[in-house]
Amino acid sequence: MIDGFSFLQQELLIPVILGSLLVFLAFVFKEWNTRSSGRFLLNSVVAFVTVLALMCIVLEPTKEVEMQHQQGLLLTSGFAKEEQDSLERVYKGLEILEYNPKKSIRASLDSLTSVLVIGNGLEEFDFYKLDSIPTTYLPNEVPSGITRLKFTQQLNLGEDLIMEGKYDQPKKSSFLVLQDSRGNGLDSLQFSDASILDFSLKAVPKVSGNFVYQLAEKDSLGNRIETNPIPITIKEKEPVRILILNTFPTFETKYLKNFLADEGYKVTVRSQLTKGKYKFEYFNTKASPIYQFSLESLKQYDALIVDTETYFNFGKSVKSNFENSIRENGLGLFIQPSEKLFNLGAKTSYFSFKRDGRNVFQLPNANITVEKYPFRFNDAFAVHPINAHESGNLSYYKQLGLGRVASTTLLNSYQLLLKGEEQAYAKIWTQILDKIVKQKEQAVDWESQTEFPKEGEPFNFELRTNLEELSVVNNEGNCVPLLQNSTVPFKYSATTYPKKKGWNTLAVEGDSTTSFSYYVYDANSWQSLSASIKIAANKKQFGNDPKENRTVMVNRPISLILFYLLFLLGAGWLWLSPKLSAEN
Amino acid sequence: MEQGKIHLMKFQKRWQLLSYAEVLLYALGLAVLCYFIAKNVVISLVVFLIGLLLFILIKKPWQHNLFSTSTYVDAHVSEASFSSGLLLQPEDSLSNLAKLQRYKVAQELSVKLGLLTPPNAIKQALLVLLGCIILGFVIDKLQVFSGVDQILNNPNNSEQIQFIATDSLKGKSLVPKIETQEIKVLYPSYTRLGGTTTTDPNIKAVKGSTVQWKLHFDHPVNDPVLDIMGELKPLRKVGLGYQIQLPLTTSGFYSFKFKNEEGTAFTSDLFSLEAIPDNPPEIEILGLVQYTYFDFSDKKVVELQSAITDDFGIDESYIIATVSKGTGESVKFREEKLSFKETISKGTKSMRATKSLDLDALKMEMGDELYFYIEAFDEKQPKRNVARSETYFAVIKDTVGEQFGVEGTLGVDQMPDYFRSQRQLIIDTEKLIKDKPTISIQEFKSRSNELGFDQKALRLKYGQFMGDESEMEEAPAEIESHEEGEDHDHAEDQESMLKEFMHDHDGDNEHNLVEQHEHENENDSEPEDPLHDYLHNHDDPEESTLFEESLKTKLRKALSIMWDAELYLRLYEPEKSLPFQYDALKFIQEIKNSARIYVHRIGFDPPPIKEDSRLTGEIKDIKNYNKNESKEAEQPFEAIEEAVRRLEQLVHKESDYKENDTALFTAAGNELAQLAIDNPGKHLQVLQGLKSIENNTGRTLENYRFVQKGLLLALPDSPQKPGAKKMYVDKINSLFLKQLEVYD
Repeated sequence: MIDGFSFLQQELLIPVILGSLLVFLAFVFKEWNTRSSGRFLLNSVVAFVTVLALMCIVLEPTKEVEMQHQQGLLLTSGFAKEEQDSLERVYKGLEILEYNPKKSIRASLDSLTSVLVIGNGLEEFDFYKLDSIPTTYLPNEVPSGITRLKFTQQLNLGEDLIMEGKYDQPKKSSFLVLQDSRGNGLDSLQFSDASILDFSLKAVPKVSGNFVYQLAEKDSLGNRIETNPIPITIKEKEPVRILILNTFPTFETKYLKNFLADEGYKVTVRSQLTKGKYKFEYFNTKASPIYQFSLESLKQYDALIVDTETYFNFGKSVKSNFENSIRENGLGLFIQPSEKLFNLGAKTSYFSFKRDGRNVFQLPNANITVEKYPFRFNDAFAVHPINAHESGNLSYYKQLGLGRVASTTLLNSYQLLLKGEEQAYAKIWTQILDKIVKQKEQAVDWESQTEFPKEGEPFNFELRTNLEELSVVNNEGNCVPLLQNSTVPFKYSATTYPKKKGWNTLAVEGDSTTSFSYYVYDANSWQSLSASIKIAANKKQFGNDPKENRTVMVNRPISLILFYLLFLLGAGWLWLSPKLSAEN
Repeated sequence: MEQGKIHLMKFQKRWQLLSYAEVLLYALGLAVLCYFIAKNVVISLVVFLIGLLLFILIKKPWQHNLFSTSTYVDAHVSEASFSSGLLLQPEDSLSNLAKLQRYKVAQELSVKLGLLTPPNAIKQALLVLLGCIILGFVIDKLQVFSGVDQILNNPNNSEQIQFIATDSLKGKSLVPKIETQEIKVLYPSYTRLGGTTTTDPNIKAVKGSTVQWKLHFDHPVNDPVLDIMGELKPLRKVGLGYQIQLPLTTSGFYSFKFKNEEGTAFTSDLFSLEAIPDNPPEIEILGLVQYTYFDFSDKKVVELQSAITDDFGIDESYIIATVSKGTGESVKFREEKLSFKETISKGTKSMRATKSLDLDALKMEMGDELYFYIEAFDEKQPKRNVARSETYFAVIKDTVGEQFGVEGTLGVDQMPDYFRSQRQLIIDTEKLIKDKPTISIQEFKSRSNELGFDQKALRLKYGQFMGDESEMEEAPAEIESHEEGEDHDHAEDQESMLKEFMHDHDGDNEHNLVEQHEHENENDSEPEDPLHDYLHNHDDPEESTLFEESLKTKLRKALSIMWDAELYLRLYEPEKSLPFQYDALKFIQEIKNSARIYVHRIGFDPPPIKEDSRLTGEIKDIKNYNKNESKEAEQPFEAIEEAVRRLEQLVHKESDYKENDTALFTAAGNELAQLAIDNPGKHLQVLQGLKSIENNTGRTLENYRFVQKGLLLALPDSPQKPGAKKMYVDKINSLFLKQLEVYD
């Protein structure tokens, strides 16, 4: 094709050329006997030009032209009509385009030199469509409602579901209620004034599984204004195997082991009776006395609870076995404190302490006091409080390789049980053990990259796995193509298009235990939140400073009048030519 | 009366009558229609009466009086020549012409009025009645308002036991209905309540009652059973109906099940069965303090008055009296059962019982104590409820005992004997007073001062029990200064004299101060030494928990009195000091006696020690000890949790109801029933919902939601339990964690 030229009726090109050739040949054949007359050559040339003109009339040739000022206005959801009108007044000849993620606007974008976007903006997955066009985004104001939200989508049974967010311009004295999947209220708050408000709601789910909790907004009379879904996956914790080593039996250990054994966990307790003689107690596990602490024998436990005397009286090699198990296998170690622990140096005891002289401590959020050693933990590298959410921590852990070592300044916690505060006791020990126990290995780790998956829209996710040659199937049983990360070989990313609302699953083919559930939202849920997210993303992508227009090459059809004239002249000449020659 | 007027009156009567008849017809029509809709005579009767009243008020037939009648007649009978009004006027007042006209009209009307019918809408009313009847009939045939009819004709709808086919496919078949149901509750005989008959299947009765159900069906049924908390009890056929009798032992739920002749199974709703426990008697002791003290010379009688009440009747009540004698390890107890002055008639619901307890009659001596409480039984069968009152104490004070005896329980002698007892001080003081005339003034003063010091030492020692550091805050400051001033004066006046016989710890003022200081130091440095391990480590006397509240106040009083006693001794006035010393002694004795109760309460028998193997250091006989135990983790709400999960799927239509779900919901129902056992009413609806899911009558989205909501509410908070989390172990993260330590 000649540069800059093309035909509108491209598809007719070959038949038209063939046809024209045929017409021309017929003319040559017809005029063959007049070749002696000398005009044959001239007539042939004229006929050729005429046929060519005819051909062009049919094919409608076009020519590329440079365009300088062809702006477009892209209207996205939530745009203001006034904004559109005023823009139209300022920029004459704006081409109005309406954005719909389900329809392509590519064709109409091609001829534009720049685009203005108003409204809440484009979906993130459509950004690429404007890649080549200078685009200016005039952002909407952030809508009223929830504009930021963070909640734990996956949690374990017994843990708190914590929702944090920001509410823009709430109606005065309206409520925000966190409800379970059937609308039983779990936590709520009332907006006292109408300004931006950060909120936090908390609940403890009662049952494991996939549930759609709800965040309802109610007016001051309790009428529902809006309800939005909060899909969460609640998992059960895995049982743990625990070894307790004591120099002598204590009440603390007695109650702790009962607490663990009552949960059905495998607990082994070894308390020394006298030199070389021990009292072994086995709960929910077969009796196998443990004397030597080799790496192998420690492997069968998820956490160790050892009192200060036992642990720090171990020989060097035994202790290094312990430390290696912690570092390499992720074993958890809890050191039951005694006065001795606080007097050891930080090098040996993992922690350093400071005397604070306080012997009692009031548990946060409860009117319960507990005894404690008059010490507190010093801050140090890799030493963290067990529960960072609560003030006045008594228990700390230290990261040691893959495992953790923890201790506490809490004294005689079993007295809580005697006082009837079973829940407080269970909470303290659950928090401590949860932090330190060896984590169970999971084959695949899924991570959703799309904040609000919607029906028919792309859902991006990442997965990390050590499996090789895996394939992921979606709800419909179709394979989802995976893109392996080139530098981190165990990391993959992929996109799927959910076909139904509600819970969808992804799973590694042939292994149902690795499945991952994600919730596909209704198009109407979380409107203000998704709008504000969209606005922010658009702002980031396009910016709102005016940009240089690009030059666009457009094929303009060449006026056909010229070809008509040429044809008329050619046909006229061919008609006239025999007459002239006859006269001669 | 004139003929004409009589005719007019007759016409008026006819008019009124017709109007009333019209009203009656309208009301009747309305009532008939109501009857067809509601099928209830009472309602249609009420509607009839209301309609009657309403139409009468609208029509107002009594308004047709003679004047309106005559106006009507004038308008409608030409022969009346607009003169019928004349008939109503007295003849005398009329002119002759009028009289003539009147006569004429009367003649004419007597003929014409018989033919004239008063204005009425009887036909219209009849049509309305007919229309109502036809409409009612059509409604009845088409059963447009069948629901209304059902609701209205079953005023005790909630009470009537309804049955639903468990298999909805066969639901079209004939449903046998209950014709009569009779539930008889027979209360236990001791309650003297007899029995009641009710139709309400939700039963609430005293525990131990017998409940009898009698059901009559309108069609023959097969194998009717009573399902009570999963336990099936067949009904006995008695005559035409069925009956069953069960004792009410625990709260719970029940339902009926049967099959009809075609073999379709039917089940009723769930009903609650609430057993109200028989409360034990309540005993109140009136106007008696918990501790009563007697001196030996007093009249030692305790007047005991009590009020005993029970919800159904008292069976028996008596006093248990325990006499304790002796102190320390030689304490002995003697128990006696005493009856009240009044005889208790069995079955009284409330009574007053009195008794005078004569301590002498109980052979109590000085220092002995009497503990007594009242025990009462009610008539509950098979096992009587028993209630006990609080324990009261009566003590004969013993002023002879010598030592403060807390050591009896603690096993450690906390009383070093370097200081004299209060009794010893009294004896010494008395001796000093006796000796006063015979000894020199110096010696007298010296001894008095010495006794003062001993008194101080004793006070400080007792102060330690209170947790005091050294001095009492309550000590009157000016007295102290006064005392010191006095001392000072003495020191100045008789300096030389005093030096000779003063003990060095108390004579010299400066020295005294130093000594005091030393003493304080001593108390500061090791005040807790003898007691530290046995006391709670509380510095504040108010928080000392060694003694109960009354003891503490007593000890405090004793200490203040000791101050006074010491003061007078130091002032060389032992006579004035003596009453204070006696008072102090009295308090200390009381404290000591109160402490004895602990022997009874927390006595401990240590196991015998094998003396031959003790402290030998032999460990060859000691062996490892093994203990193996398996405990099932208790998950009392496992099925409910599973059901909640399953319902979430059903609500979101992620899967359909499967056959094995039935077992799950049955299990969840049983768990919920256990949870609801104390309060069957609370979860009844959720249970009914579960049942209807189970038997395929309520497998609707609505019901799923309702049941799930109820189950979520019923579930207690999830217990805190530790556990491991599933985590993907990332190679890069692991490397990072390991590297962290390198730079630690």
